[in-house]
Amino acid sequence: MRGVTIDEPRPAEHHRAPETEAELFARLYPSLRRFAAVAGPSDLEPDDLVQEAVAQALRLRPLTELDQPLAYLRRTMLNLARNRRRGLARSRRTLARVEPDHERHSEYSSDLADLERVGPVARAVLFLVEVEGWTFAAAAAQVGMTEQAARATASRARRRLRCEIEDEEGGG
Amino acid sequence: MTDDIERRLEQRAGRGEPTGADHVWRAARREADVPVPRRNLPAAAAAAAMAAALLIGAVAISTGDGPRDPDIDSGPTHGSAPELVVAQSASSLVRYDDCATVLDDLKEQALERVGPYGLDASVGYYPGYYVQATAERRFDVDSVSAQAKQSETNTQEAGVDEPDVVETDGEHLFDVRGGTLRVTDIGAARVTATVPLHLVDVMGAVLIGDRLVVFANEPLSSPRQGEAKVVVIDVSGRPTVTERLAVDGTLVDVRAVDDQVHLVTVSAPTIEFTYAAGYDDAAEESATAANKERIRASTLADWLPTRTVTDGDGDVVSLRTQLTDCADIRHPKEFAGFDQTTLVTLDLDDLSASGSSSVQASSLLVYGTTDSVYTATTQYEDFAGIEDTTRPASSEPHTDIHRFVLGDDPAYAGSGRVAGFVGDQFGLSEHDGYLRVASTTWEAGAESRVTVLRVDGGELVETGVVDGLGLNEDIQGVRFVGDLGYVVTFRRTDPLYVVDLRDPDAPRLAGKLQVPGYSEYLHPIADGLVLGVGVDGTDSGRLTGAAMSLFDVHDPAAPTRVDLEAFGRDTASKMADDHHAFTWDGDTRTAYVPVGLFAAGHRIEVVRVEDDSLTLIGTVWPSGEGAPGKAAFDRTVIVGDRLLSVSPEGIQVSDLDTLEPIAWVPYS
Repeated sequence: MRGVTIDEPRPAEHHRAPETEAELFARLYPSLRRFAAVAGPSDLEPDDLVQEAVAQALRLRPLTELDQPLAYLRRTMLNLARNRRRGLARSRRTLARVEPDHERHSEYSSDLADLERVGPVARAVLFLVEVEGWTFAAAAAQVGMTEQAARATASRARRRLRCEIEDEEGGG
Repeated sequence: MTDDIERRLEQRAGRGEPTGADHVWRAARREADVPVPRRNLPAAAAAAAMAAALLIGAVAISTGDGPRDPDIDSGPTHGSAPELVVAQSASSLVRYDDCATVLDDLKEQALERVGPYGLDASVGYYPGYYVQATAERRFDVDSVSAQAKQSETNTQEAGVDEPDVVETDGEHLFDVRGGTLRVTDIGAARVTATVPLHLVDVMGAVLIGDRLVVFANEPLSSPRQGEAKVVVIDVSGRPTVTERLAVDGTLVDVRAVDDQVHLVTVSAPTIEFTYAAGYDDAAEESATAANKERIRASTLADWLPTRTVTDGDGDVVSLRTQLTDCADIRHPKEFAGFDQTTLVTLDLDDLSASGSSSVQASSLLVYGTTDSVYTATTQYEDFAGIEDTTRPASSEPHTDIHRFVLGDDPAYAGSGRVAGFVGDQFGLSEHDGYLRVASTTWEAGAESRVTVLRVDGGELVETGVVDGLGLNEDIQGVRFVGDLGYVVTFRRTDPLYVVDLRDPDAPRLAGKLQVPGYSEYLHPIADGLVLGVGVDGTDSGRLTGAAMSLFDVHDPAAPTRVDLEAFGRDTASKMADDHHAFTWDGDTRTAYVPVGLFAAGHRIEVVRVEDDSLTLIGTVWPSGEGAPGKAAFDRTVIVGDRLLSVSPEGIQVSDLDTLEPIAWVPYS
């Protein structure tokens, strides 16, 4: 449950003055960036996704007024990524024109490309549980779904990835 | 293997080149506060992402672990139920005999499909987001009445109102963004009331006489799903909330015809399943067995949505009563999933008496005419990119469409199916007894088509199809006008296809125009002239910024673009994903379009159509005493001789003719 505590206010003894927005963001940034890198589309810089989500949040209210800023921003990034993936294919095409294909994919090994076989939600859940060590219940809350749905999503994603990896290894 | 997946995830988490917290923070601040372009992301991409962000902007985070009330009153509901009867293609809907039959059937279906993680239905997602995010578009050629000189919500069909975040009665402007009602006295140019509505994700409102009816989604307020919220506010004097309605599930969309308001909601079962403790077969078999027991022990309360009504003081009028009588629930012969679509026709005098009718199928978008409501659902991979085993197996994506006839004696009319994905409500159009549907398939690369369905009789029967539109391209914009359909696809350039639908048995491609960029929103302004709002581009396919095109389609076989007004490099228009942002004054042949650099700092561009040309006659920026340096204008409202440019920050009141600023009305 490493990630859970980061969303909680700093204990008073650690901060005499209330944490500023910039301080709060700086504290959340590493987690947000890693999440963006996993959940976001491969043709989008993680920092751009973080920036987009933060800007969106700032238009509504200061980060310090969010109950769970980390979860809020993660969920926002996930929705951005999900919408981009499904309904806004033109964004990808636009990015593709800006970045030539070889540049866009050069950073990506085939290992990482396999993860594209499952969607942003599945990647996010797997990442939070398998890599970050969250419980399913906590991960589900972060991405805005039920624990049961998170478990099902992770299970099916694992199966699909397992098949992809086995095919890849079997086929060389 | 799990370790291998973990390794890949860890590797992916470290991809890219971090620019640092400080850099991202400052960039986000700039983006939120001032209109500066974001690095590395061209206008269209950012605008699209931002539109999506705005749509999900008010989402609250919930653990979804709220208390679950198992008590449900499954007694008869009140009010006249609209006959929402839906059928899967090639099969008619079946009415349940009674509640016992409903429960037995659902259990039987569930026992066949339940697994170690329960039923993998579309839990936790909000169809409304996707409907909105894929850009609803609508039009009404005369969206500004020349006589009353008061603009109305830009709707797809005349006489069918749709919820918007801004409404006006000609004297007041009602703005419900952010879950707060702000009432502005237009003549006095000041906010006269601010009423917190305690709503999270506001879809919009409709004004019915002196009552403002506000619609919203409350995400994940129960273990498995959210709530659709309706708030009725008496605005005859000081705004007063008179009643509230909460319905389990998600609000998909709303249509209002005359004084009747129709909600379409989708709900899911709320059974709390167990799950496999490990990934081995034994653990999964054990969990599956346990889940089957839970299904066997389930009650109606676990399957059917409920409604709760409270009065203006917050006192409960009715608590979690079953939304729809079992006798008013239909199911297709062919299993269509555990989601339930419900049409609720509101009784604005007594919300607890609102009628409803349900069908055991999901819905993702709604299209309405004055006498019909169509719902549509596309079956394809779910958003996680993995199959959903609770839905019917399908080798190819297809969209099921169901038609319900409204009126004094609402009735089921028919259902049909088309290949592919229908992007938004503008992909549907009813005309002279036929439904025309624009969809995109991906059998061997993207390809779009227009299917014609006859709507009389028991089912929607295909009479003709035009396919092969935009190979390897998606539909960007579509508009049906009379006997013609205009379909815009895009990859490197913008093919505008004109489809001749005069013979529904033999629709045909009449003409095609290839121009740089693309149009996302098409707005017919007169016979033979269509405005297109979208993105300009180069011949090589590079997008440059927001633009408006004027198409001459007098000759369907030879459409031409007669003029183009580009709004500047890297600009984007909020029109891309929200047609409500568009206002057309047919009296002066003037269009009002919010344009800006990404979502921050949108101004209003005012463009007049004169003969066969577009003339930019002015731009509205925040101005006047107390005006901020920038504002994200996203609506324009015309009242008398005043132009109101509305933003979340406040309202710019301008002279309609000269665009000279009169006053800035701050919201805070």
